[in-house]
Amino acid sequence: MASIHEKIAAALQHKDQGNDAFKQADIKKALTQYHLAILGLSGLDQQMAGVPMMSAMQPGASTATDAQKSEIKVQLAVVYANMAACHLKNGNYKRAIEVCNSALKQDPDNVKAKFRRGQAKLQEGNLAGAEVDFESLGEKVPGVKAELEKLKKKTKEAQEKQRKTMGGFLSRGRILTPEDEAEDDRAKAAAAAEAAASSSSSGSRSGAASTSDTSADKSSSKARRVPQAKNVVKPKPTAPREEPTTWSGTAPKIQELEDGEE
Amino acid sequence: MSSSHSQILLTSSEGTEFMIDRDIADKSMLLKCMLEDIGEINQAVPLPNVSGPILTKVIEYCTHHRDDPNFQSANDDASADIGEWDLEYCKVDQGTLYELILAANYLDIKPLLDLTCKTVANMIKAKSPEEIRKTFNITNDFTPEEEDQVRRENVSASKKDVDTMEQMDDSLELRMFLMLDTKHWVDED
Repeated sequence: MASIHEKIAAALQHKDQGNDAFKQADIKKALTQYHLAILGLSGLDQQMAGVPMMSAMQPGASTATDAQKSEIKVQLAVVYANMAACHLKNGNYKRAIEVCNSALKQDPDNVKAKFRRGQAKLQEGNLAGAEVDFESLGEKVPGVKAELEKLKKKTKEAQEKQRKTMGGFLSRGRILTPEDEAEDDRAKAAAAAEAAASSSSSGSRSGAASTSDTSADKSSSKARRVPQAKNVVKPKPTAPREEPTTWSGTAPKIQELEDGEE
Repeated sequence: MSSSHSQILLTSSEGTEFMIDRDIADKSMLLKCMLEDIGEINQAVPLPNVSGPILTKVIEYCTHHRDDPNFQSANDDASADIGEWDLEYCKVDQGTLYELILAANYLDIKPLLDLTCKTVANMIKAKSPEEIRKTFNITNDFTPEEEDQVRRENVSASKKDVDTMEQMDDSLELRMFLMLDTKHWVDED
């Protein structure tokens, strides 16, 4: 049977191959290699030498040294965090969160795992959870600031939406004033912008832009819709900020993080 | 190798090959997650940290329980009795039991991990510290004064320990440690 040292080396080779595949955007191959790395690494540090009975049960068991154990943990966390990057790319946020949790269980200090868990939570709409992750990283970590801004915007949107629904509920049966109509239109526009933002990268910006364009046209033709025009323009300044939400925006950052660890 | 889509080829640490059905592999959360993530796998899945004989035992367990409807929560009730087949299954030497615990933990097969840990717990149950030391070949590293003190402390601590164990997260090492650390050991007799 191969020594622990050899096993670690073999597993790390899979990790490197996974990183190469990830760089070539072959996510499936990357995931396969990362899984192989995990098959090799996990279990190695679980020899339980510190437990009196366990070592007594198997005196001959080869045990990892403390240095090896911590290396195994750190590397496992790296592989899990890299897997999280794959899942994020695939839009599989549930699994991304799972593997980030596995990473952080091995190494609570793994910055990328926490960062990516935050991203996955943000995408899933778990804004509070995302905030906890990003806040705990601090703004010094590259990318966190942008993510927190995105988060703020999403929170604001969610609050607006809630305010609208609640407002509509409370004012049921009330005679609609032009202002109310305008408010409704604006809510729809905001929802459309949000939908566009959460959809594919290319769609988000053009979608938001076109929404505000058409409403601007409407407002110029109808004088009584002036308040609406004022409202609908609001999403406009947020549109550029939306850019980092999209994958094209964050992907280089992930790549950057990736390179740091190899 | 992958002639049938529903079969997975596993290789143990010595390179022995095992062809198993997909539903058997799915009992292991480690393998299940892997297969779900990457879909079809067109190569053998290496399990470098499980030996052939142990993998045979693990597959035997998973095969016997392949149709259990609530397999993943089967042994959740810690006080529940171990089934007859499971009891028979665990009648192995300590070394094998130890490796089964490690394999169940590695492959993430919770019912098997629970079963094997429970088996170890039963080996300890209702035994005096001296008997436990003998069973597991543990050297007594307490001075008589220390031992006396521990015994006195444990009378009041015993209830607390039980509570702690119930709330513990599923960290295997912690679970085993609390169960076995002689300094925490409760002399119930």
